Amino acid sequence: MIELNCFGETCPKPVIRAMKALQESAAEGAVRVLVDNTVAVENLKRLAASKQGTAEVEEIEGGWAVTIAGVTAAAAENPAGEEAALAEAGIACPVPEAAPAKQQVTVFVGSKALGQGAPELGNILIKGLVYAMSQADEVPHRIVFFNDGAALTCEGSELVDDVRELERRGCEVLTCGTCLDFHGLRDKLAVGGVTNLYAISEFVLGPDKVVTL
Amino acid sequence: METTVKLTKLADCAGCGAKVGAGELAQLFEGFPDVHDPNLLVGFDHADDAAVYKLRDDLAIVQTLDFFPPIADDPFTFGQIAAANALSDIYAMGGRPITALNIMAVPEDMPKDAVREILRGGATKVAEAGAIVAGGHSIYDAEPKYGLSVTGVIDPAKLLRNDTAQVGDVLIYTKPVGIGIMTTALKGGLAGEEDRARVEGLMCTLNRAAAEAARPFAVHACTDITGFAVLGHMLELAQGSDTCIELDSAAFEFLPGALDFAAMGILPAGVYRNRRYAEAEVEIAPEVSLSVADALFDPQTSGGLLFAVDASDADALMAALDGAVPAAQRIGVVRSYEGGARVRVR
Repeated sequence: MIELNCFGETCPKPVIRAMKALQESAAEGAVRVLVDNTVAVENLKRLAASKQGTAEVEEIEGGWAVTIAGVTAAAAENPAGEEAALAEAGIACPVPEAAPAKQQVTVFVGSKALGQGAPELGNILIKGLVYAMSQADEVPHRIVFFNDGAALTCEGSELVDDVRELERRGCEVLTCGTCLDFHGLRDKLAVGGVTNLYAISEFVLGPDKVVTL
Repeated sequence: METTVKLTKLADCAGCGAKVGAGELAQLFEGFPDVHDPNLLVGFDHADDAAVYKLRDDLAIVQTLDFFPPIADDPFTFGQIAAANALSDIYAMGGRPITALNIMAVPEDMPKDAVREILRGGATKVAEAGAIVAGGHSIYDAEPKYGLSVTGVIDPAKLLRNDTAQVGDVLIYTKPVGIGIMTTALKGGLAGEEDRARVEGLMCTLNRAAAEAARPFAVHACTDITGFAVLGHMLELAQGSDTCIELDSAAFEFLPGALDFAAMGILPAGVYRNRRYAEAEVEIAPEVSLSVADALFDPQTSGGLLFAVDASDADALMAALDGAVPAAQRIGVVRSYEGGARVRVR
């Protein structure tokens, strides 16, 4: 049985590590988690119940050992989306990840116009390009709207439908929150989520190919 | 690979989850010198949201102070949330904020831009509230913290206390519940960007519109729901007013995903702290699920306002709040206390 030492870890972490371990040891359906606070004990009991398993708590030196057992493979599967989140959070995932088949692309859009020149032409071009991307065989991994480009994902933008199509097809759509605030558009966002420069710096420094329009 | 420091990773517990338990606080103040001043209309013997001191028959000042470690990764957002949360206590008393002082602790090596963004977030919200940042104090500390001390004004006759609910009052709440659970899920990397935008937007939302919408109606008591969770604040209201509160758990609006995360055990420590404090006085019907009960013990950083309004005004208040606040919910009623649990949830 997998044993996790979560001493010194608070709130969500022991539960998240246990979730991951249950999934990896699906055939066994059991995991033993060592924790040093009662909050973690209670949270692990709830996790066991939500996976239709049992939780046995044993006092050990300096804390508790919670053994979760009887979790079926199906119940161990984490809901869609959580998988990616678990990986993203970088939480105790010893399984080496398969190399991505193809380089993923993050597109940055910093202006309402594509290229320099007549703004009117630039507007037509950006609209055309976003439409083309939404229809492409493979949509970008992620598209981030910033600076003046932030207006493109807001109410009143002609691009909203095409960007929605990108999102529907699996492209992560984000707009810079600072830019929305600067333009007073925070309440007008019509598609995708809001991001910040911490996340953006991770995108820039991350594994994706970064293209700025 | 982690290439930047996320603000919330510098914090042990987030937002109002960092609050000292209500029971613990009461013990701390026991045996202090008993000084009285008839002009102190609300002091800390009342466990209310803010202190109120009468200056003239028609004018009192409302004072409050609130700060906490980062609850959002983005410094500008964190600043806005801390300010909305601090300002809320003024609104919960029925007051109008006029000045605010920054309280800040930052690590020496924190980028100056981030520090500035936190302060800009605070200033933005204070301005939105129609008040002004008049100064502040900063120190170096390993864990960042930010908040404000806010001063407001009120006509003492219009003071809204949290111990004056009347039998028959209808209880109305103004924000969806589950803020602490969702911020915990975000901290664990389990919730998505859409969830982040939703819960951060909620925490940034001032309670100004709620307070203003309620002004024309016969509101007997008001409080904001923050660290002590729905049930902790409800218990204070019931005890202070010597009444019993009946809540309809089905009438609450929970943030999308909050009940699922609660079921999985993605719960902040504050849930258990609030449970310990309030449990003995709260009776939860067996048909109410554990995840709903946990969500009602969940600390709500920058939560909404809870009104105890005369039943004859309840419909009108609901109509006035509709569209003005994130979620107007008619969650329960105030009954006379006849022994047993102070708060009953069905």
